Amino acid sequence: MKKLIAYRLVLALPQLALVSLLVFSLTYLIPGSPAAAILGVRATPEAIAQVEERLGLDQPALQRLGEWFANALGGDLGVSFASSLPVTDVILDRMPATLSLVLGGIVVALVFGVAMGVLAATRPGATDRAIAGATSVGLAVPEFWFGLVLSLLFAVQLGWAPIVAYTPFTEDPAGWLQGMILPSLSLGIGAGALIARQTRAAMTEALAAPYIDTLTAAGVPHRRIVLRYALKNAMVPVLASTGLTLRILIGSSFVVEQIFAFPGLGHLLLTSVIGKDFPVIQGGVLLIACLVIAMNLLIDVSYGLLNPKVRPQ
Amino acid sequence: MSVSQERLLSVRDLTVTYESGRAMQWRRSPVKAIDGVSFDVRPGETLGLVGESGSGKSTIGRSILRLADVSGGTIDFDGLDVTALGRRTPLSYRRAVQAVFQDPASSLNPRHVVSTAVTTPLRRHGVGDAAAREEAAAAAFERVGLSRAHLSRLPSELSGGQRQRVAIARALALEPRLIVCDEAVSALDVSTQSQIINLLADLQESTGMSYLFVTHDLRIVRHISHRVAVMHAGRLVELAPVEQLFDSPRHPYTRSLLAASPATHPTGRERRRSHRANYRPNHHGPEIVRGEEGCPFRNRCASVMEVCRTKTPPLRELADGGRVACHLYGEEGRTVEGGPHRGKGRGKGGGRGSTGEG
Amino acid sequence: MSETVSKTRKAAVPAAERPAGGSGAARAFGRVRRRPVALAAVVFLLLLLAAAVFAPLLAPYDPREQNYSSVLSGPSAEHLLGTDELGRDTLSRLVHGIRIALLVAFGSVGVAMVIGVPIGLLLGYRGGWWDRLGSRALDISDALPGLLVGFAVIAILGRGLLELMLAIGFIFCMSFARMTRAVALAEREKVYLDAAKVAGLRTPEILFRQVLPNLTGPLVVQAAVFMGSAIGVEAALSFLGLGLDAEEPTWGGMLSVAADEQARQPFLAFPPGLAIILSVLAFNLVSDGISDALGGARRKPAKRRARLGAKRTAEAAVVPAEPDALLEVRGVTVELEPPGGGRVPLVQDVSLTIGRGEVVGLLGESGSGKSMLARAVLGLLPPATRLASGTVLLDGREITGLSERELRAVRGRGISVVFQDPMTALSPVHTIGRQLSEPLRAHFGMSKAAARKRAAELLRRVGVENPESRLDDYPHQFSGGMAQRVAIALALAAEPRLLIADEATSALDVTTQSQVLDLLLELRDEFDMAVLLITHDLGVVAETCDRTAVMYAGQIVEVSDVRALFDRPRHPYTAALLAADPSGEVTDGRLPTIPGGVPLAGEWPSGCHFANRCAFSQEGCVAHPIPLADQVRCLRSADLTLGVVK
Repeated sequence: MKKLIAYRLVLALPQLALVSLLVFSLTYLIPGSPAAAILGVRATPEAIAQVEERLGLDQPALQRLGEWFANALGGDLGVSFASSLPVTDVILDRMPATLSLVLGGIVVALVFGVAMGVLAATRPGATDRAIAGATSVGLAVPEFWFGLVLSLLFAVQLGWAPIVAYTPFTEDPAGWLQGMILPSLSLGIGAGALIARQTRAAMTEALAAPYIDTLTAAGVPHRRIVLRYALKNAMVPVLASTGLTLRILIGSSFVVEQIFAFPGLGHLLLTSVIGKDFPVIQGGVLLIACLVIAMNLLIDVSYGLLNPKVRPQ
Repeated sequence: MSVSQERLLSVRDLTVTYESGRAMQWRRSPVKAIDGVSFDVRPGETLGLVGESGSGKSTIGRSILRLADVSGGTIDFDGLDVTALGRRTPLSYRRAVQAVFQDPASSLNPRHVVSTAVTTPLRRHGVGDAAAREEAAAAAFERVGLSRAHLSRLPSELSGGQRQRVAIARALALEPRLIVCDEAVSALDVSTQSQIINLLADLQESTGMSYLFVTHDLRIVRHISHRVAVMHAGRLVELAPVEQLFDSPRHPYTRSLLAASPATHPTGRERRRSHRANYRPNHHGPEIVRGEEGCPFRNRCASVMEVCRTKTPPLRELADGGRVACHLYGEEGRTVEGGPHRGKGRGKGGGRGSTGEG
Repeated sequence: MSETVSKTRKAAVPAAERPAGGSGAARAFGRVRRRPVALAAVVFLLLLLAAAVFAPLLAPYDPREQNYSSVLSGPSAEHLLGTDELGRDTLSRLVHGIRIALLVAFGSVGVAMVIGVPIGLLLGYRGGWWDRLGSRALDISDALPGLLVGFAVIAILGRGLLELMLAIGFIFCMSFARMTRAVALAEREKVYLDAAKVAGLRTPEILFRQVLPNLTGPLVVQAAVFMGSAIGVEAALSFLGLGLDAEEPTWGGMLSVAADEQARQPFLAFPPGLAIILSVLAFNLVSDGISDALGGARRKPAKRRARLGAKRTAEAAVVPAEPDALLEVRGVTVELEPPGGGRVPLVQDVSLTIGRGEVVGLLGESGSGKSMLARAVLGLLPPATRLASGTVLLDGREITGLSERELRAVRGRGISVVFQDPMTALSPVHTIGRQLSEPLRAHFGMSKAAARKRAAELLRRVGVENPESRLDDYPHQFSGGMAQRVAIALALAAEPRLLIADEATSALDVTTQSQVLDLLLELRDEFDMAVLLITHDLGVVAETCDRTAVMYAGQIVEVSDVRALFDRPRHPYTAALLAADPSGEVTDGRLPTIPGGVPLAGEWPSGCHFANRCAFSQEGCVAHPIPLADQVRCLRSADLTLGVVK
C-alpha cells in the first residue's frame, strides 16, 4: 500500500515538472512581444517596458525559470496584473466553490452512471435499450445548457431562487448542500452517461467471463455472483477511465458555474484570459494540474486496491 | 530426402537477455532467456527444438529471424555472421531464412486479401512485375494445396488450416533455404495437423530446404525431425538423432518429458502412472533463478547428486554423437545405464488401428 | 467455447449477407447502411452540411441585422424562432451557426489528427526509449482538463475562428496520439508484422501499408466522436465569450444571450441547445455505427433465460432411469438461434450414460460440439443457444428444465466443472480463499472461518504448498498448473458426484498436464466421483479414460471401452483420427490424413456427417440421418474391419 502510493508519487513528479515547464513557457509562446499583446496596440513604450519588467521578460530565460520554480515551490506564483493580489491567494479563494461543484458532479455521475450501467447490463431488452438511448442523449447534452434549463425551470418558472445560491460549506452545511443540488445534477449528467456506458460494457464483459460460469457451476447464487464478482471486476476498467471523466468534469465546471453564479475558478480564469492576466492563468493552470494529479493519484491507489495485478511485488 | 553433414546454420553460445520488469518494479534486471546455446542445422535437415513454455525455444527462432536482440554468441548462416550485422538485414538473408508462426489468426494481416501475403515480400525482393507476382502467388498457393479462388479471400474467410497453408506459401514463395517453424501446427486440430505436417515434409523433399521446427509437442517432433534438441530453462540439455532421443533419452529432463507425454495407447498406463508417482519429486523446492550456478533441473531431478547443486553441467558430446548437459554423463558423475524409463506401451506399432484399405 | 460460437455464427449468416469482395471501406459502409439509427444520423449530418453550405439561402434574415422594434419576441410568423435581445432573427443565426460549428468540428479534428496520428504511430511502433519519453510527454494531458488547455491557447493566440480550431485541435491531438500509439503497440505484437519483417519489408512500408490500415477504423470512430465534442467545446468557449465575436452567429454565443435573458425570454435557450444536442448526438451515433460495422461487435447483455434448460419433457417419466447410471444424457440437441433468425444445430441427438465413479472421455476436434454438450448438461448454455430437445438425468432425476434455484443445488454438489484456462476461470480481483469459500458457504452454509479452514484443506489436497498463506493470494500469483489445481479445488469444494473437465489440461505443459491428470484420477477414487473428460487429445484419452465417446460435427459417432477404441475402432472417423495422430511410430512415409476439414455447424449434411471425408462411404450414407446403433453411428459398422488388433 505505502509502496503503491510511493510508486505513483514518483511517477507523478516528472509529470508535474513537465506541466510546470509548459506553464512557465506560456508567456514565451505569445507571438510578438507579450507585453505589447497584453497592453494592446496603443501601448506606450514605457508601459511595455514596465510590463516586461513585471513579467521579468528583461531577464535571461534560464534565470527566470530558476526563480519561477523556486518561487512556485514556495507557493509564490506571482501577483495578478488585474487585482495586484498574490495569485496563490486569488486562486485558493476560488478553490472551495470549484471543488464543491466537481465533488457534487462526480457523486452524481458515479451514482447514476454505475446504477444505470448495471441495470442495462443485467436487464437486456427494453430496459437496456431505454438506458442506451438516455445515455446517448446524455452524452450529447452540453452540461451548461442542461444547467440553464434547470435554472429556467426552478429559479425562473418555479421561483425557487434560493436553491441556486452558493453558500460556503463552512458557513452553512445545509445551505451548501441545497445550493449544490442543481449544479451537481447539471454537471454530473454528461459524465454520468459516460460512466453508464463504460459500466454497461464492462459489466456485460464481466458477466460473460468464464469465472462467472465457474461460480455458477459451483452453485453460487446468481445475485451474489452479479453483485460481488461481476461488479467488482467491472469496476476495474471503469475506475481506470475515471481520470478522464474527472478532467472533463473540471473543465465543464468552469462553464456550469457561470450559470449558477458560483464563485469558482472558471470566472477568474475567464476574466484573466480576456484581460491577459498571465500570472493568474499560469497559476491557475499549475494549481489545477496539481489538483488533477492529486486526484489521479487517489484513483490510481484505489485502482491498485481493486486490481491486485498492478500492485507492486 | 538426403541430409548432408555440412552446416547451413551454426549457432554458437547464443545468449539472449531481456529486461524483466512488471509494470511496477523499481528496478529492471536482465534475465537470460537463452544461455549459451549451440547447435547446427544441416542442409535438408529438420531440427526439432522442443521445450516447455518459458524454456526459450521460441526466442532462439526469433533471434535467428532477427526479431530478438542477441546479447552474446554467434549465428552463422552459410558463412554470414548474422549477429555481426547492423540494424539492417541484407535482403539475401531475408530471402534465405523464412518463418511460419503459430497463430493462424494473427499471422496474416486481417485487412489484406491473402494473396498480398505472398506478393508483398516478392515486390520487396524485386521479383517480376505485378502480374508475375500474382502468378507466383497462385503457383505458391497451388503448391500448398490451395486454389486460385482462395487468393482474394480475407484471412477471416479461411479456416485455421487454410491460413497456415497461406503462411507456408508466403514463406515458400521466396525460395528460402531455412524455414523457422514456430509452433507451426500446434494450434491446429489433429486431422489438419497431419495434413500440414505432410505438406511440410513434401516441400522439404522437393526443395531440399531445412526446417528449425520449434514446438512444445514431442509427438509432432518425433514424426517430422531428423534430430531433436531439448531446451530447459534457457539451456540446451540434450541433442540427439530422433530415434536415439525417443528410444534412449539421456537427460533426466528429457526422460521426464517423455514420461509425461501421453502415450498413443492405453496399454501399460497404470504402470506409467505409478512410475510417474514414484518419479515425481516430493518437494518442488525453491524456484531456481536463471543464471545461478548449478543444474537448473536439480530440484525436479530424481537422479540429483551433490555436484548438481554447485556446478552447471556443460553440454558434452558422447561417444555415439549424442550431446547431453548432465553430470550423470561427465567426468565428475557416473555414466549410468537405465534409470527411470518411460513405459513400454508407446512407440513402435502400438497396436493402433489404421484406415487401411479394409 | 467462444470460438465455436463465433464460427457457427458466421456459418449461420445467410450467404447473401456475407461480404463479397470489394474494399474494406465499401464493406463497412454496406454494414453501416443496414443500421437504421446510424443511417438516420448520417442523413442528418448530410442535411446539416447542406444547410451550412446554403445558409444564406435558407436564412430568412441577415444573422447580424438588428431590429429594435422586435426584441426578444417569441416564435411568430415573422420570426419562426423569435428574436434575441438585439432583435436579430434566431432562425437565421441558428442556420448560420451551423457553418461555424461544422468548420470548427472538421478543422479542429483535422488539426488534431495531423499532429497526433504520426506521433502516436512513431511512439507505438518504435517502442523503447522513444515510447517511454514520448508517453511521459503525453501524460501531461492527464493533468490538464481540455477546456483549461483551450483557455490557455486562446489567452496566447487571442480569439478567432482559426485560433478556436487550433485550441480545440490541441486538446484532442493528445488523445489521437495516445489512441494511435495504443493501436500501433497492439499491432506490433501481431505475428503478421513479424512475418513482414522476416520478409525484409522496410519500416515505413510496414508502418503505412501494414499498420495504418488497421488504424483507420478506430481513427474514423474516434474522429466522429471528437467532431461531436468539438461542437460542444466550441459552444462552451463561445458561451463564455472566448470564441468568436459576439456579433458572429454561434450556437454558444446564442446560449450566452439566452442565459442573460433567461428571465425575460426563456425560449431563447432551446433552439441553439437542441441544435447542439442533435449534432453531437448525430456524430456519436455515426461513430457507434461505424464501430459496430467494423466488427468491433460490442457484446450485448445476455438474457438469463437463455441459460436455462428446455422445458421438462414427459419422456423422462416414461423411460425409467438406468439403475447404475449417474448421468444420463438422452437425445440432447442444442441449437443456435442467430439474431438474423433461423436455427443452427450445434449438438444433435446426443445420448450418453456415465456410471458412478467412471471416467468417460468425450473426444472431438474443435467445432464438434463437445463443450456445448457439457454446457447443456450444466445448464450453462451461452447466449443465443438453447436446448432444443432431450433430457439430462442425474441420479435418475431430471435436471433439464429445473428452475434457477433448483439448479443451484445440483450445480457444484451434483455436477461441477473445470474449464480450460484457469486464469480466466477464476476471478482476477478476488483472493482464491474467497472464491473457494463460495461453494462451501452456498452448499454447506459454513461460517467464514470454517469455509476458510476447509478451503485450505482442499488446496493442500490438490497439491498447493503452504495452503493457509496462499488463500490470500490472487490467481495471477499462481503458475498455470497451480492455478488449474486451484480451479479443481473449487470444483471439488461441494464434493460433486460428477466432475466435468472441459479441456482442463489442454493449455498446460506436458509435465504439468500429466500431473493434473494423475491428480484427477486420484481424486476420482478419493471422492468417489465420476469424471467426464472433454478433450481433443487422443493421448489424454488413452492415459485416463475408462470409456470414450467420440464426437464429430455435433454427433456422437462412437462410444466404446477405451482399449477397444484404440484396438478396434468401429467408426471410420475414429479410425482415421487414430491413424492421423502424429505421435505414432516413426515412419519415413507420410502420415495418414483425413481429406478436407470438419464441416461448420449449419453446413452439416443430412446424412452421415462424415460421409464426404470417409473412405468407405456408399450411396446410402448420404441419404438419411444415421442413428446411433449399438453405440456406433455408421451404416457399415458391421461389414468394416477398421482396427488391426495386434
